[in-house]
Amino acid sequence: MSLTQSSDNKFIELAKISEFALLLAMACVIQFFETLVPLPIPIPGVKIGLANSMTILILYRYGRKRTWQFSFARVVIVSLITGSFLSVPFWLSLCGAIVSVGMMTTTYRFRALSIIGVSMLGAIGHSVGQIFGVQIFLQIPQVIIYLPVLIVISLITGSLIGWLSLQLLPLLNTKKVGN
Amino acid sequence: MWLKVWQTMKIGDFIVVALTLAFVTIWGMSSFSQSSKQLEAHVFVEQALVLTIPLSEIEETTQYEVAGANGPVIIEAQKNQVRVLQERSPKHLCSIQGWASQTFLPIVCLPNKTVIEVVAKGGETENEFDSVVR
Repeated sequence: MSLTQSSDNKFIELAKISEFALLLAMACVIQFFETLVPLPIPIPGVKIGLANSMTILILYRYGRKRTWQFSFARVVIVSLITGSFLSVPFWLSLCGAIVSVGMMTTTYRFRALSIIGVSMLGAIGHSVGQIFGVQIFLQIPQVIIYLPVLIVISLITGSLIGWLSLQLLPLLNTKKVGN
Repeated sequence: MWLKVWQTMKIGDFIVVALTLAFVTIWGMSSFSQSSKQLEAHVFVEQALVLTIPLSEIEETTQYEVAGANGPVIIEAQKNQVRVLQERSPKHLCSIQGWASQTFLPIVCLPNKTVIEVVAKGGETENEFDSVVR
């Protein structure tokens, strides 16, 4: 490997790290503001999930491993900002993120699924994970009755977020980095 | 915009939507079939049944109070419906939810660890008989 190639690789690696950090910061800010603006739907856990569009971008740009790192970092950082680290909302958020990312990373290579389908599965996974978390950490089994409603809302929000990610992805997919 | 979303979707996406909606419909119908029976509200605090309200037998608006995890939870019941009138929680989601009259949509107040479930009267007894037959 020549000196120029090595320098180029380092530059590309730096650009990737910067992009990862930028998307992570954006995801944290979006998620934080989403917690401040509740939707007029009186069901616990319902949100648009705009921050998930950043997770989808990471998934399609960097693959599985980075997506897990991204999602875990997002949950931890937002919980530190909101002051809920290691409390019940943190664990519920983590449960949602684990199932959501698990479903998306498993299915994103399926040719029959578009980014919208993957996003819908991620949103459904998030709802299932949170309901599962409520069973474990709050032990309120009746909450499972909310699941069908949450799943229908997840289909709608998931398709919107998927479509949004589809619009954002080409903006990042440029080979030209820097000058 | 929805048209653009629709046009972007692949066959697998439609399968996901169809399977999900089928699952939700079956779940909803099984719960909805119980709503036509005599109703009662079960109030749980930290998983313990603390109050049973016979919704079908109530003629006038009645208020009840249970001790939630954050403080008192005031519940109001009318003929075949129930709601949380007042409670202590950050977002007051269960108060905002309003009246519940369907078996498939309970009122859940997570900060108070309180759940109000509308159930078909005698449903548990029927289940017991089913288990004997099996």
